[in-house]
Amino acid sequence: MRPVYVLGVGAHPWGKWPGTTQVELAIHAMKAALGEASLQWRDLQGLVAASSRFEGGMGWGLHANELVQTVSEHGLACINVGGACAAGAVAFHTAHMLVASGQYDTVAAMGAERMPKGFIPRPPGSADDPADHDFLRWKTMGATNPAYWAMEAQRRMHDHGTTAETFAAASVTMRRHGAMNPNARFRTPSTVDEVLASPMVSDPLHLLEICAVSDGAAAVILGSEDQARRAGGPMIQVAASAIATGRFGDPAARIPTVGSTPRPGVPHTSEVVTAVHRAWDLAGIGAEDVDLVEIADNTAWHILAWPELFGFFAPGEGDRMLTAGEMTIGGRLPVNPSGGFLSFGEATTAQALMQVCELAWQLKGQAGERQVEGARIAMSAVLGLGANGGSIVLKR
Amino acid sequence: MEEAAITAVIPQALSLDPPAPALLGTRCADCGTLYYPQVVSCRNPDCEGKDVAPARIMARGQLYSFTVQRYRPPPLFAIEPWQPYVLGLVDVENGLRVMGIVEAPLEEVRIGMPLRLSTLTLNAEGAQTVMTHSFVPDDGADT
Repeated sequence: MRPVYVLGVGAHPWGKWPGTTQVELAIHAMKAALGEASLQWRDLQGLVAASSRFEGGMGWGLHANELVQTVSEHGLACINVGGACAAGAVAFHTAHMLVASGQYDTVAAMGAERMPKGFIPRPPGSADDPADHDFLRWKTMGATNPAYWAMEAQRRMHDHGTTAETFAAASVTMRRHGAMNPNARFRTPSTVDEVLASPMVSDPLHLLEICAVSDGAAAVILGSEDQARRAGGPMIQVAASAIATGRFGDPAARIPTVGSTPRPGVPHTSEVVTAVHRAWDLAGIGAEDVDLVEIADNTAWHILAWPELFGFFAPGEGDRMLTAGEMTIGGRLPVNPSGGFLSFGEATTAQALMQVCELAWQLKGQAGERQVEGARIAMSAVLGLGANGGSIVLKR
Repeated sequence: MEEAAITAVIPQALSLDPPAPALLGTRCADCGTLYYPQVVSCRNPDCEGKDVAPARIMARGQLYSFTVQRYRPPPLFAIEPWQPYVLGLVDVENGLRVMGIVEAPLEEVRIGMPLRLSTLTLNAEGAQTVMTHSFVPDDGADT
């Protein structure tokens, strides 16, 4: 294994872009990343795609090949990986391994997604299998994704006394961050009153406490130390990339599960907790070393709960940390300076790569108004369907 | 079926046979883990045998958490008429936690309340009635 560096990152702004194809979104993000890296398409030796779930793919989850057949037919290696909402982290992980192995010097990871409207539906073409949790949750009880997150939030209110106002304040913090990010879709700050006045979707979560779905694309180009010196600018090293899957007995209300087997002592959201702790071990760091974190805030609950699950705060302490301003820029642990999923809306497979873009911009000091001063170690954490977890640590 | 019929929305997952409805799951013959819905193998990494057999789950337990499905879900959920309903996670037997509709007024639903398995009519057209599983407050009486 040799050290791997971020040569460049790029994104297409998140939003609803009915007039732009998925491939066009991807090309936009890749062009921006190649520009930062001072590279041309023909310089890439490999492209790893976080395969789209909802569009394109020639029916088999492919879009790295579609992209090179559109833009640059120069014989590079194309790899297409799954992982649902964590696919971007799996793609990054794969690209990282390719460069770290020494066989490739310059590899891109990218994800582009155009999402269907409304609640995230069953994947197209799914079979009506009576042993499939996803089929059962739709067919026997009509449970949408927010219902799962809402039951976690309800339980948190019971266990820790979290209030409706604190959930709302978490959304307010994210939207304040997002207002400073030109790539975010929702760039108007909200107040606690506005969040609480938005429609109740799944008690206790309101519309403005749940991430929307968006279209977007993000790309990250990784390379060797020589490549990084050639690209110029601050050297941003991949301190660790880790992926993991869930553990038996995990107590999380995991989408789309209708029957689970919780066991005492097993970490909640174990796929992500395992990935984060593996990444910390690989990077030789602990919670106290992290200058900022980008997490998959599908809801306001995630903002309060996830930092506790990873060990940044004690269980139940997140509420006080949030309201004391410790999770915002300038606080003890800035959470989602990008604005997070609550400001972006989720473009599933692209989302984890958008997180990495933000880590890189923060470490390079290019985050503008939302800059975390002096950031040197930045990390991400993401969760995908199928109990996929991913965590990436970058350092300057 | 030309006669009047009451069927489960997914017959492989819910039995309507007397004396009481049961969820159809699987029990690991080696480590005892209980699963719903049915599985083809035990997934406990500490279990080496992983031999499984069908299990009927009568399902009495306590409410772990709940929410309200306020928006009408996609049409695969064929409930008529539609109105918002409570969804809950219920800790039943042998460490199994099952999700389902809770038939109780929201203001009476609280974490920890005892519940038992029941059935709910999803839709009835002509002689055909389609049922799904639900949970109702458990008065403690034998079913």
